[in-house]
Amino acid sequence: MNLHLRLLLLIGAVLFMCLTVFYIRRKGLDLYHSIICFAGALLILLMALFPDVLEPLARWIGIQVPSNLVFLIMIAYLLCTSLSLCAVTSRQHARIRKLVQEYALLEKRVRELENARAPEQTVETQGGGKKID
Amino acid sequence: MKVLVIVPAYNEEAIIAETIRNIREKAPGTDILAVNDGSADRTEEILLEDGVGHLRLSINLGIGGAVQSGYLYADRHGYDYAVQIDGDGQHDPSYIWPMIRHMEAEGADLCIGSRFIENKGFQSSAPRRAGIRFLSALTRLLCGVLIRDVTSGYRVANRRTIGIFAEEYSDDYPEADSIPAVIRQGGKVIEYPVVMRERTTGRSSIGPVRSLYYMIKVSISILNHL
Repeated sequence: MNLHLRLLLLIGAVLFMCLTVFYIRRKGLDLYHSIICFAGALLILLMALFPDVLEPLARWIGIQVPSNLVFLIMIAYLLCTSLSLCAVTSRQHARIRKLVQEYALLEKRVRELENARAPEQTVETQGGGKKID
Repeated sequence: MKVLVIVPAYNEEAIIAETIRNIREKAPGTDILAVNDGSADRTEEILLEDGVGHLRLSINLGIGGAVQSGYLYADRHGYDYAVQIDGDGQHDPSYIWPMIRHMEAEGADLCIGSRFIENKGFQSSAPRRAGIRFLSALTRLLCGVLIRDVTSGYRVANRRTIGIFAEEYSDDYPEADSIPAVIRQGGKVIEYPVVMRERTTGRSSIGPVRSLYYMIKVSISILNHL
């Protein structure tokens, strides 16, 4: 593998790691999901440091240029990442749905309780509370 | 016997009041629960004015999520039967009590109001009928039960099925894939012949591209329920 490509991968891996740390510290990326990013950086780092492993592997699969194997590995990594992100959004979607439903049930109960109270009580309360609806 | 009629409504200001009046008249003795699925029009005001029991979803969840909140409500309040009926006036509420009586006689857990037993009334377009036939065949192949109108949104669930639906109901196009969910848990699903009207206002949520998505999604979902 070309030395320049190795250097580029090395720099990319270090930059990606720094960016991940920045996101953890400043942008609220949680540690659980940062593992995906660190795994990606580590993958690039390993390929830059030990390109000798790639060559026989590339030959075995039938890829003529080992650098193309780098692309293949990165595409596989991205596929796995997008799958896990889909799982995350699905779970969050289900949770949001449940919250909206519970909230709606609660809102109905509150509305009916307020309607059942005497009207003069609901119009003005001491704390300056307002009547909803 | 406690019966809850769940009426999902998304931007149905033109017809929701009439639908509810119709249910009161033709299905006396039932409780009505309209579910305003984050409508942008006057649906909420109309429901408040009417005084009908209703849920207001703060985010549009889609038909499945809206109806599921109704099943959740039925589950929490110990209803014996929950009826799901469209808010756009397609379904005639006078079938509600006959469907429940039919379910009791058959010992069924879910009863689907079906257009394709007597083939009367609005029969949908030819491509849609073909799609429904495919899903019906898939359901029959995988679950061994023939349900002709698998996509019908007019259905009655008993207490046990209410519990299943409160737990698990798809967001979009939930009708067809909720049937295998019930069968898989050992429930009995039957059909009852109904006549449906063509919708007079609003638009069906399913266009040509969505139809393809519907078919693929429901097929995956039915397979997933095995």
